[in-house]
Amino acid sequence: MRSIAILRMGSLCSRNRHYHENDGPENAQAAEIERRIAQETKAEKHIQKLLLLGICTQHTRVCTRFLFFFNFFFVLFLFSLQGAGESGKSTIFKQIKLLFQTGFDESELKSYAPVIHANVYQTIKVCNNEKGVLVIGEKLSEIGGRLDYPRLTKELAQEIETLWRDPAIQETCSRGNELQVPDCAYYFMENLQRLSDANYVPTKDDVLNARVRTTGVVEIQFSPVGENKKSGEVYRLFDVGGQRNERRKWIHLFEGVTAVIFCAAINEYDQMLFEDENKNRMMETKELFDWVLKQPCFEKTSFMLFLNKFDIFEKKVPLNVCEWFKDYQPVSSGKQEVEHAYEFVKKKFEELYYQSTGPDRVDRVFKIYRTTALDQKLVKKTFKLVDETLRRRNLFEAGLL
Amino acid sequence: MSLRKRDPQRFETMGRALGIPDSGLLSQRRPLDVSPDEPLDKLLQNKIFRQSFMAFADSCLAGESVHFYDEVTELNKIPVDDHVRRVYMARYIIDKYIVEGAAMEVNISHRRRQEILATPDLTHPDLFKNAVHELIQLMKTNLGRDYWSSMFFVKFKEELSKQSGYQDSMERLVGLDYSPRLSAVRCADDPFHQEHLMKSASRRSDIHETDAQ
Repeated sequence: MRSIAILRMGSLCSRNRHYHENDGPENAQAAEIERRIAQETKAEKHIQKLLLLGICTQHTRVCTRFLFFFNFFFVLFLFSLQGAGESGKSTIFKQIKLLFQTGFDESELKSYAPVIHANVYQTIKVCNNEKGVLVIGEKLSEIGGRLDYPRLTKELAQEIETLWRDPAIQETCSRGNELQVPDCAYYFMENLQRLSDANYVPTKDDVLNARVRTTGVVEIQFSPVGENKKSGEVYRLFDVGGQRNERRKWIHLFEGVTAVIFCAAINEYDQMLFEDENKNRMMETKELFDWVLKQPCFEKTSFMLFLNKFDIFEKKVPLNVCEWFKDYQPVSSGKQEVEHAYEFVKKKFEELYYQSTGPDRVDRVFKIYRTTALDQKLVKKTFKLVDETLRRRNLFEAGLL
Repeated sequence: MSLRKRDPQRFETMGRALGIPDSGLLSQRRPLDVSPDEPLDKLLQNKIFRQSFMAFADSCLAGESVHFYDEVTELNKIPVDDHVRRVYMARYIIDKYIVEGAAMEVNISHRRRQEILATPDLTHPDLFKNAVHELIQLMKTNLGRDYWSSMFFVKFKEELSKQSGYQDSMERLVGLDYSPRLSAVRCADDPFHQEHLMKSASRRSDIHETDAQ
C-alpha cells in the first residue's frame, strides 16, 4: 500500500515543520516538500468532492487512496433507471451488461430459453382470451393454465405457428393496443422454428427481446472504458420495476443519485397499463415524470430522458388518440411525418420538464435522447453522450471547469 | 372477581391470530429435494425454504410476492366450511396485498386484481389461485436464478442439515459464486470487484487511518 505511505509521510512532515535560520538549502527543500504536500492535499480534496456525488462507502475510500498513487480521478456515479412498466428500462440494463461487462456467457444465454418459450405461450394465451377455447385447441389451452411451461418442441411450435397464421388470431393481435400483447410477440413468432430447436441457445438479440416483468431492484457496477484511460469512473446502475406497486420501492434508492435515466416508451400513447387497463400509458408516464422531477432529493440530479421504442413509434402514427397529444396536426407523410411526430412528442416532454422544474433547480442537467433499446450501437452511442455530459458536469461542480 | 381489563393479546401474524396451526418442516414425511432443478412452487411448499426465499426476496425489495404466497397458504389451511375465518383472512389478504396503494401491494395484472376485488364469494378456495400463479412466474423469472448463489441459500443448507441430517441432496449445488441481485457484480474492467481484496484492503486502511491521527 505505497499510496498510503506517501500520504502518511506527507502528514508527518507538515506537522514537524522546523525553520532554522542558517539552513539555507534545507529550508528550500522543506519549502519544496511543503509545496508538494499542499498540491497533493488539494487534489485529494477534489477526489473526495467528486466522490460525494455517489455513495461514500468504506470501499470507495479505500479505492481513492489506491488510485491516487496512479494519479487517477476516482469517481463513483449512481444511476437510476426509472419509468413506467414496459418502458424499456431492463432492456437498457441488459445492453449495459453486454457493452461494459463480460456480456452473457453460454449458461446465462441458455437460462433465457424458458423465459422466451414462456413469452411465446403468453402471447398465444393473450390473443386467445378474446376468442375462447375452440380456436386454440385443448393442448395449448392446457399449457396456458400450467405453472411450468413445457419446453417448446417442434410439434408445439408447428401448432402455434398454424394458430398464429389464423386470420382471426392475427386480427386479434393487431389490436395489440387493447390487449396486453408483449412487444416481442412478432419477433418470436417469426423465429419459432429456431426457438423450438432441440439445442436452442438464445442469441443476444433473443435475450434483449425477452420480456420479463421486473420486481424489486437489480444492481450492476461497471466501468466504461473511455478513450482517455487515465480517468476511472465506476457506475452503479439500478434497474427497477415500473408497475405502480413497484414504485413505492424507488424511494429507497433516491439518495445520492448522480443521474436518473427516465425511460418513456413513445409508441405507447394508444395502450393501457398492465396493472390498470383503464389508464392510458402515456398519461401515466406524463404524471410519473412530473412526480419524479419534483422529488426533493433530485434537486441537483441530472435527468436523462430516453424517448424509447422509436422503432415501433415509426410504424404507427396518429398521435391524437392520446389526450396529451390531442393538438397534434400531421403535416406530411412517410419518414418526414414520423420526424415531425417525434419532434412534437419531444417538445411536449420538454414543456413538461420546465413546468415541473422550479427556479431553484434551473441549472440541473436535462438531456433528451431518442433511443431504441434493442439497438446495441445506438445504446452505446447514447451512453457515451450521457457519460460525457456527466463527467463534464462533475468537473464543473468540483470547480475544475 | 377481578375488575381489571384483560390486556389485548398481540399476535405476530394474522394466521396465528386466527388460530391456524403452524405446519413447519416436521410434518414432511419425505425429505425435500432442494435444488434448482425442482420447480419453485413445489419448493415453496416447504416452510423453511419459504422463509429463506422470503428473506432473500426481501433483500431485493421484492418480498411482497413471497409474503403473499405465505399468507395464502395459511388461508388454505382453514377448513372450507369455516366461513367466518376464511372471510376474515381473505379480507385481510386483500387489504394488505391486493388493494391499490396497499402497503405490500403485489405486482399482478389488472384482470387478476379485478377478479379478486369483484368476487361475490370471499370464501371461494380458488379466490387467489390465478394471482398466485402470476406471482410464481414473477418470482421464478426474477429471483429464481440468483437465490441459489446467495448467502440465504447457504444459510438454508446449514439449517436443513442441522434439522434432518440428510446431506445427499446438498451435493448438487450451484458454485459458490456470490452474486446476489443487489450487490457488485464482477466486471472485466473494474479492478475493485475482488471482494476479498476489498475486505482486506478496507481492514488495512482502517489501521493506517488510526495511525495517521
